[in-house]
Amino acid sequence: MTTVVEQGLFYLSALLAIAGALGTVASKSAIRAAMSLLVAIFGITGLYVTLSAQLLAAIQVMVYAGAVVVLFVFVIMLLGGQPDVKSDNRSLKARAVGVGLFALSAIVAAVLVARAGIGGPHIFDAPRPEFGSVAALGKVMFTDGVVAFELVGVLLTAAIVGVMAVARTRNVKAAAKDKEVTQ
Amino acid sequence: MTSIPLEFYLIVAAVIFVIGACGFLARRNALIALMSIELMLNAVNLTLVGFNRWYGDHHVGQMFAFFIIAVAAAEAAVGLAIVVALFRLKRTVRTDSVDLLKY
Repeated sequence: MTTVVEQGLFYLSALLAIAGALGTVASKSAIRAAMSLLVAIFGITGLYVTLSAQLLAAIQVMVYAGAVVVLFVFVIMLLGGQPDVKSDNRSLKARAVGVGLFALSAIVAAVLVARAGIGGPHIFDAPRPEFGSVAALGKVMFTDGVVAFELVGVLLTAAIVGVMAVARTRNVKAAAKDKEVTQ
Repeated sequence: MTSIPLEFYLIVAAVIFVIGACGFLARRNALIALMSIELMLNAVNLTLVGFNRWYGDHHVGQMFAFFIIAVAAAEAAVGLAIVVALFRLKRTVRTDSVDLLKY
């Protein structure tokens, strides 16, 4: 790929990722935030492609765009539109403390990065032909990471059981009673 | 892909992480707080993949990113189940109306 194409892909993806992230945290409505999250995820997918991590880019699209964002949208639709009440009861002092802590941590981070002395730009070497391929990543995942891989399966099973335990209705009568009380 | 230095990726990842952290701390909608967590996990993944591209003789960073994606999916599922249960109880998804354990 030529330099112009890869630079264009990088800057477009970075712009999408950052704009999507800003849209996610700044949107008034949850559904707009979910759509912005989708934009951010596609931007990060483009960045993975420029880093020659093709398998991760595919997994990112499948898992995030295909599952996580759909789950978010599903829950937003299930819960209905929330009226955005402006009842923010945090005091001015609490806000000032928050902004101050944020500025302090930003300064500390900048000082630490400056002291570390990163040195000139780290230009990547050309990747090996099999870098990021399914075979290469699968090999490391089933040798060095095989225990973690199996444990991820256990984690996902536990998460599914946990979701069913948390979100199910205990019984119909109690649910009806709950509804009566809240209304 | 050899024309973009590593630092650019790290800067993009840091910006996304800070945006996600600010969103998580500032927003009072539980759904948007969960989305901010997803943003932060994605930023970490981008850092891992970028460093893995720099140390290109193995794939351990990409393997970690794969596991983080799995954990993020589990976290989103459980978090959304908690939001649904919370909505059943309180008829709202705003986190400042859930302060029973605060006092």
